Amino acid sequence: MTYSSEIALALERGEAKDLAKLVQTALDSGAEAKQILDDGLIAGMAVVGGQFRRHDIFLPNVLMAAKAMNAGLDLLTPLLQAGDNPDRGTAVIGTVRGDLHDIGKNLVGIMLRGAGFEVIDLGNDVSPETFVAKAQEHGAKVIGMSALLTTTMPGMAEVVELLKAKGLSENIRTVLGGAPVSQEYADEIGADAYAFDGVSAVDRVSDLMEMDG
Amino acid sequence: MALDLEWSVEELLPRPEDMLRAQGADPQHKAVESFRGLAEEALGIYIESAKPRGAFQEISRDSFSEIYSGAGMNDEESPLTEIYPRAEALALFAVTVGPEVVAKITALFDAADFPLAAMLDAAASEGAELAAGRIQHDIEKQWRTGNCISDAARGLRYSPGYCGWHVSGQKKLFAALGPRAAGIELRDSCLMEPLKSVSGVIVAGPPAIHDFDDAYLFCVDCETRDCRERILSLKERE
Repeated sequence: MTYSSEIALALERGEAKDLAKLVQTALDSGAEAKQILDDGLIAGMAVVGGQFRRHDIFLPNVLMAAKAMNAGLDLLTPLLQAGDNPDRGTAVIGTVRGDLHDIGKNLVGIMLRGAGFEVIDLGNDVSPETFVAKAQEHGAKVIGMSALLTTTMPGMAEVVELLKAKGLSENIRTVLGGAPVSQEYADEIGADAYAFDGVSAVDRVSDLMEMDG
Repeated sequence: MALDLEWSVEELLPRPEDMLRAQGADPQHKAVESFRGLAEEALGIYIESAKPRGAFQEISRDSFSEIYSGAGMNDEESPLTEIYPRAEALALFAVTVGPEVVAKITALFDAADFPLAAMLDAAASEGAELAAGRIQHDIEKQWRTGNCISDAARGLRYSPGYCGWHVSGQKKLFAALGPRAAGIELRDSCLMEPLKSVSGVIVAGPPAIHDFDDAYLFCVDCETRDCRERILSLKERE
């Protein structure tokens, strides 16, 4: 078994301490940080995402994997060269105003960081004005919004409208997630994308980052 | 009648299997074995840090009508509009498991211990619901003792933010409960602080008043449809 597959397996099992040891061992033996990231951590997380989508595992398994990934990233991040982990852009994420449910949003943040994005996590109960102001402040190209309550979903539309009103909707794209949210709702309010889970959030944000603006 | 109540955490202890279900996990599934111990660990932290308490305030139908109108943002049609005018008794309530457990959850997330943080989060959510159930039980008992409700009457809880009652209704609800009800404060956004809190109205009356079809406009976006279970539970309590 290669070091990459061992690291990926440790991540899939959510074994944070083992994964950190494996990453350190691989680094000590001369492996490139970028390769460990791609072939170990990101590859392992992709497997976890697939298992979660097939309902083979549950949210706590994914969170254990995320914790393990974080342990690996702590070791790798200082070693990654600018060219190794290119600036894939900045995303501002948060749970919309009036909503406190942020586990899914936290998971998305971890996945995005793992995929090389700069993530500004605004936490929960975030007002539309704060989403937009923080996106501008950090030069973010994407705002990711989460909601669990149907009554707080209109906060997402407010952000989309505010971006339009400020003439920013071509420069700052929006992606939505959360249990009551759907592609139909994203289309209805004019959001740029909808993500079903953390894995698809990475895909959607990648697409949005590459859009002209 | 108005009361402030406190309970021991042991009286309102979440069940590990409910914490697992709250995270979408089937307690019987083999994948659960890898994190079953996490539920026990989270429960230990919960026992150390949770301080469940609550407050309730009886209210007339007319007074509740004013509170329910909130900031005028409710859905035009909602179940509660039909339910509370037929109630035999109503009480506003707010319960919380306290700020200490919320601080623990935040600290765990900040320390990147996501699985334990999420498990403790689930324990605190379950604990807050148990506290809400307990205060409902307590007030229904008092109503029965005082012959304020009929033998057939059954109570259910309804909360701002759900089933067409706009979350902005929290402002009038908390104004009626009094300042810092059970130590809970409202943010400008109407979210409660501490976050693991539940508020609303307990409506007691004949079981039939609670029955409604889940065909309202907001039902389309509702993922849980737990109103069906709540209505069914009334039959079990008959």
